[in-house]
Amino acid sequence: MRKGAKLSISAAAIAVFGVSGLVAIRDGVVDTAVNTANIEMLTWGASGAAPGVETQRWVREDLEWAVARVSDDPVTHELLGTLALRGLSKPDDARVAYERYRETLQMRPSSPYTWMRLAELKYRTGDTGAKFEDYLQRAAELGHAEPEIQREGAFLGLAVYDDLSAPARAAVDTLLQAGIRRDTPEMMRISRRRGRLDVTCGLASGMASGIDSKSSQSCQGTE
Amino acid sequence: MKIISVFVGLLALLLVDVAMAAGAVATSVTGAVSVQSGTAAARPLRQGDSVTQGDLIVTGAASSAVLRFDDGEITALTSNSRLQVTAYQYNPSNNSGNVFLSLISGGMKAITGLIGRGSPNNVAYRAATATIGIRGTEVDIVTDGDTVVVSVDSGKISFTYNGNTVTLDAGQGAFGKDGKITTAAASQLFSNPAIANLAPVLGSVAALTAAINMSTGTEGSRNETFSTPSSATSPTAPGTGSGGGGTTVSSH
Repeated sequence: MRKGAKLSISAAAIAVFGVSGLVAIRDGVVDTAVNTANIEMLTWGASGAAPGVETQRWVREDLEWAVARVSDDPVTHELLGTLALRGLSKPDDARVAYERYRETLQMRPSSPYTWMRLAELKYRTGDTGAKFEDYLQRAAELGHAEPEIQREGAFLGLAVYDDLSAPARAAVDTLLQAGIRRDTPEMMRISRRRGRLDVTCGLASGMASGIDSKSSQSCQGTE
Repeated sequence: MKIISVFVGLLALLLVDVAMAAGAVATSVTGAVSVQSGTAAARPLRQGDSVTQGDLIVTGAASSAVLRFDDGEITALTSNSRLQVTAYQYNPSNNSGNVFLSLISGGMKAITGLIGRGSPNNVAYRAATATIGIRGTEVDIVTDGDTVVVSVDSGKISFTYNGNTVTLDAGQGAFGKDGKITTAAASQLFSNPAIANLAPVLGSVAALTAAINMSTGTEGSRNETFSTPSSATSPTAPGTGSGGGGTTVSSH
């Protein structure tokens, strides 16, 4: 091979490695930013204290900075959506949350958690119509075995149980039954908080596996 | 990125914790009750929903709501009332925090919780232009936005109106109207013709006791979380895999 050709190949290889390296560095920096923001958000939960406005601002800015550089990461979109959902103090927050979750679903359509987040968003904005039910049912179909989906589905579904269509109610029943099998007292707590022990106890009474004695006692009087 | 995904799951769990760490649960809701957060549109308040600092709760005709705050404080609203949770912060590790509720109009019954017992100076209610401080108290408050009436069921309160403050013990009441405070035995308060228009509202507040007992007597801990971690493996569902539907979200 001629010397010139060798130099060209070497230069091309260096360029490829250089670009790859730069991309890796960029992704690493973005990952770090997302990770840092995420950890900060975790501390809000751990401390039990609401974060300050400034803290929320830098977390949001970091995530927006990250998504501007790596736009195809569903995690960043979902975090931004959850930030907006958590606040919902401005009319625009609901739109932002919805847009972020939509982006997330386009990249990760089979996540029951994101569908459930959308259902929660609908619920928290007072819109518990067809779309709310659709999101709830999709989440139940995708994640009926997931404890978090069972909890949230029961929590949201029981709030509007009497108003649900038959398919949506069936989806909630499925989540409740799965939840009862997994952790009956937890489902009882959720049902009690929603004032719908009658629903959960009704479902539990028809289950072959039965329920524990304490839960059974809670059900007495709801029959 | 996988590590981040794991964090997202925890985050989703804990974010709900944050939202629930300082606020109240609607333990009873009857009729039409809505809640508004910030400048967002009002939404229906349903039993089990959380209420947090800054929220405005509005009850319609023939409606009522009972809120149980994290420290055990109970606040019940009669029909046609508007209450703002102006400030509510609570640290369960030492039962400290502060409570500041603003009754814009209507009637409410307030039974103080752990914050009020440990730090009574950190609990206050505002009704129209009056401010009510507490000393381990169950108090009824009624206002039409101008006149303010208070009646003490137990404990003691300070009632500040138009720059003047009176202290009231259990069984006593007072009202502030036209810049002046008038005190009386709680049982005789509403025979005063000056506040006859508010007597029915106070009667409604007294009737809230039964609703409070019913709604909070069986209420369990609200430490449960209802979260949706977003990181776990995603099962493929019918219609959402390759070539399937459900991959996009239609208009909001």
